Amino acid sequence: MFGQDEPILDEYCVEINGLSKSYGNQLVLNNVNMKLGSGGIYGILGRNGVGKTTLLECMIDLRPYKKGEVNILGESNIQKVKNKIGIQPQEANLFPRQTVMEILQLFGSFYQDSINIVELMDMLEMDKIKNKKVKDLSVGQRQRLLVSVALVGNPDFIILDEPTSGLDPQIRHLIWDCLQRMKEKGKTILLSTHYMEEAEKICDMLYILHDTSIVAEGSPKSIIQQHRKTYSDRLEDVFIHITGKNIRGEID
Amino acid sequence: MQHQKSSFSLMIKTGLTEIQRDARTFFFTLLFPFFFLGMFAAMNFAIPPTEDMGLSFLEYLFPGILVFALVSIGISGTTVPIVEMRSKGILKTLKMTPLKPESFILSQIVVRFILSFFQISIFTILGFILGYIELGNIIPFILISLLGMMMILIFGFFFANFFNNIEVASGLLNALVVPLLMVSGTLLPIYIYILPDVVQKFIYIVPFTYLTDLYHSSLFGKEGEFSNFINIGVILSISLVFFYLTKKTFKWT
Repeated sequence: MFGQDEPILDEYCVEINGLSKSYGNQLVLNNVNMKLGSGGIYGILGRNGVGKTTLLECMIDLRPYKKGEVNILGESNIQKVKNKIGIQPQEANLFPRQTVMEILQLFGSFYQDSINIVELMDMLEMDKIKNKKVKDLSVGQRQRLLVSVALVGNPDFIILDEPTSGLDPQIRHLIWDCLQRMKEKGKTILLSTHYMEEAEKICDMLYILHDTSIVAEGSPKSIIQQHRKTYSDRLEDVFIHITGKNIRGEID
Repeated sequence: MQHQKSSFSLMIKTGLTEIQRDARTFFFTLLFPFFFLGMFAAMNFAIPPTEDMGLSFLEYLFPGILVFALVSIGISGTTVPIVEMRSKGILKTLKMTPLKPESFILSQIVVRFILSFFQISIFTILGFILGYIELGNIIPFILISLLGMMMILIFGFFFANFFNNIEVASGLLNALVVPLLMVSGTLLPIYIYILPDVVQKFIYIVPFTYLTDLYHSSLFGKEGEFSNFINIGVILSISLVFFYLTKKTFKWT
């Protein structure tokens, strides 16, 4: 394991202990351990199909797992703290014939302490599309709406599964700014990404998932530091070094 | 409590506007049965009264067309939208929120009851104007319709659990439901079929048979195939069994 510089805290926002998950006979996650402190942006890096989405979905009870324990905000029963968790799934969708405004009002109503929708739309520059129906949104607009849906409940813990995948740099930067603002408000954010620039720029702590396990963890700087002398000072090179150059078969 | 109430009413509003803004679903669930009624009204002039009850063709068919309308909302208007919501990941997104599954299901039921109430009201007015429903029969007519709607709606949710593709769901349901409506005596009198006994017995396992029989005996005061007690009992029993199966097999993703 590389670059363990995780602070030792009394209380964690998220604790994952010994999580294992298989699809049939294929082991996808093996004894995964993660501890996320309160506040900050945490990133999960891994190659396509390594099991990042599976890990996130196991955390929120969307997929059953074989072994291990997940605690979020001090609760092992995730249903009890759903009101404090905001999630943007990777393959998600919304009611196609509702407008942006209607979607945010609807999803905001599910939470006890939702945030101001006008401010949220302003933060993600959605004011001009507030009356547009979901089915008429572009990829970037739809992704911003999905991120907004994850934030509308004013959650303490936010999970974003590849929030900037396929977006142009302007929208990516807009989402990064939004996440920084959430972090400043004390929120804990866990995101999965393929963008090394994103991981390096906005994440305080990274976990690299490879061959069913977390093989490196620490701040982007510390992970690079571990390999600078022997390899490179770019996170992308370090990532390739750790996870290998060969093309592997994908898991979900 | 206040926020739960508002989330529930917003779910109902969303369900209604999703149907209202989709021209295809709106047409087939709400408007099509009236075209159907008009078509049979035209045929009424050419067809002699049925042997079954001495009723005119349209008199006989009137409750059947309402059953058809309820089936449009309860099955096509429930199964297909729920399969669509599941296949497109909308249910997955909802599952990730604090929204309780029972709140979601209940809101969907309320949406369909609102739509069916609209249908039932129009049919009641039409039936009254045409003289098929007497003043004293209005309440039984509405109650039977709501009972039928409950059963049909449960079928709609039940079928939604077994499909992941809208086209397959839509195609198979049409292929299944229309023949069932035909052989159950809902759309055509049973006596017109020249079928072997074994096949004739099949109609007794079709739930619509009991609903149609209940309509006929209550509206026209004629003796039906079964007693009202049996008709209501069968409808309630089928509803309970399928409700249990639906609850057991319901899936978000």
